[in-house]
Amino acid sequence: MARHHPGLLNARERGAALLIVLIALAALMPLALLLSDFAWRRQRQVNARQQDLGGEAAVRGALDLVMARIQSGRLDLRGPDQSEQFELEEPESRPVRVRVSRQTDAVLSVEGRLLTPEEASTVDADELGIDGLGNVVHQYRRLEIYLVEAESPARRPFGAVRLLAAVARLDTGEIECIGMRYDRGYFREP
Amino acid sequence: MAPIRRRQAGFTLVEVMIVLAITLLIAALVYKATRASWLLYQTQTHVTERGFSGVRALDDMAVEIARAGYGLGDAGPVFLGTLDGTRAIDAITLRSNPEGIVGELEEDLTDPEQFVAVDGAALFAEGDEVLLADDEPNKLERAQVTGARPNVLRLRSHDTPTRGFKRPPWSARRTRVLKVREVGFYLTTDRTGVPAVARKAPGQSEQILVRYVEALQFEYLSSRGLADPRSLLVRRPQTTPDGVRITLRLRPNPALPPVVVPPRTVLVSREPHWATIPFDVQGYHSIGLAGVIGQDPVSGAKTVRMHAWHDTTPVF
Repeated sequence: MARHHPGLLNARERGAALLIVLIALAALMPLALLLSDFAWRRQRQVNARQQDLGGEAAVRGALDLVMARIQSGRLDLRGPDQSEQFELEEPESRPVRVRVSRQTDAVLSVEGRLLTPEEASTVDADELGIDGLGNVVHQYRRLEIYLVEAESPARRPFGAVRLLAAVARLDTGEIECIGMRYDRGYFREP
Repeated sequence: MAPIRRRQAGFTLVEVMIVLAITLLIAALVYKATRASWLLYQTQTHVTERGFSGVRALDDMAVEIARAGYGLGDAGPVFLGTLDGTRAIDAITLRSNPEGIVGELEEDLTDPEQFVAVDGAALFAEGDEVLLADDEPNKLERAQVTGARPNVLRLRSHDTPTRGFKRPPWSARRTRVLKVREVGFYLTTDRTGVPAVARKAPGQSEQILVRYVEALQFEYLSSRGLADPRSLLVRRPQTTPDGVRITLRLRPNPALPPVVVPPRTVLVSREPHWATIPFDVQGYHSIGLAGVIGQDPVSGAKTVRMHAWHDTTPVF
C-alpha cells in the first residue's frame, strides 16, 4: 500500500496563504504604479527636451553645410526654380532632410532698392561709379538667392524641428544668411 | 492515526500569536515603506515639476528671442521691459515681422489724420501695429494703421499721447513701414498673488508660464561683451548676432514637500535675420538686406520676400 505524504499546508491553509499574497500584491501595486509613473514622466520630459535641442543643432548644422557647399560650388543650381534634395548621413541617429531651391536673382542698387525683374533686365549689373571720396563703387549688385529647408523629422510623440533660411550668394562668391527661423511641430510631407 | 488527528485540530494559540506578531511587523514595515515612498514620490514630482516648468518657460522665451527681429531688418528688434525703452531687467518685449510685410512711404508723413501713399499699402489692414524706420540711424517710431485703402495708409503714433508724430517728417523713399508682432515676457503676480512669469502676445490673453518665481533676469550680450541694455535700441551696421542671457529662479511650491530648486540660466543667440551687402571695398556704401520666408497662398510654394535699406549714409 502506497504511503500517503501529507502536503505542507492543508487545503484551507493554502486558501488563506493565497489570500494573504493577493492582499500583499494589491497593497504594493499602487506604490509600484506611482514610482513607475514618476520615472516615466521624468523620462518623457527629458526626452522631449533632448529631441528639441538635438533637432535644432542638427538642422543648424545642415544650414552651415549647405552654405559651405554653395560657396564651394559643390551645390550648383544653375537657375531659378532648380532645386536639390539630399539627406545628411551624419549623425546616423538623427537624419536630416535638406532641400535647397534657387529663387529669382535679386539686384540691389546702391540707392538701397531692390530692382524689379523688369528694371533688373535693363541695367548693367557690372556698372561702377566714383563716390565723393574718389572711391570706386558698384552701382548694382546681383545676388543669387537660395531657400534652404532642413528638417529633422518627427519621431512620435516628439515633433519635428524645421529650419527655413534665405541665403544670398554675392557676385564675389561670398555667402550671407539674410533670414532664418526655426519651427517645431508636425509638418505635412511635401 | 494520531498525527493526522493532530493536524486536523488546527493551529495552537502560540502559533496564531507568532503569525499575528509577524503579520503586524510586516504591516508596520510596509506602512513605513509606503509612507516614505509616497513622500519621495511627492518630493520627486515637485522637483520634476519645478525643473520642467522652468525649462519650458525658458524654452518659450528662447524661441521668441531667437526670432526677434525676423523680417524687421535693422529696425531695433530687442526692446526692454516697457515699449518706451525704460530699463527693466525682469521683462523683455520682442519684435518681429513673421510675414515680412513691408511698405515704403511714397510721400512725406507728418499728419496723423492724413492718408499718405505707401508702396505696398495693400499688404496692410486697419489696426495693424507698425514700426516706422528711417534710413537715418536710431530714427524709429511705433505707430498703428488707422485707415487702409489700396494705395494709401493713415498712420498715427503710439509714442506720443496726442498720437502726433514724435520726429516728423517721415520722409518719402527713406522710410520703411514694417508690420510688427510684439511678444512680451515679464514678472507679474497671478490672481492668487503668487509671483509668476507671464507671456503676452498680440490677440491673446496673458498666459502664465510658471508660478512661484523668485527672480527673472535678462542680460544683454553684444559681440563686444556684456552691454548696456539701452545700446540695443541703437542700430548697428553689422550682422553679428547679439545674445540674451535669461536667469530664472523658482521657489518651491509651499503646499508640497520642501525642495531645493537650483536657478536655471540659458544664453540665447539671436540668429542672423539680415546681412550687410557692401558696394565698395571700404564698406562706405552698404545696403542692408533682409529676407523672410513665406508661402504662396495659391501654389503653397515657399518664397523669399526681401526688403532693403541704406545701411550706411552715402557720400556721393
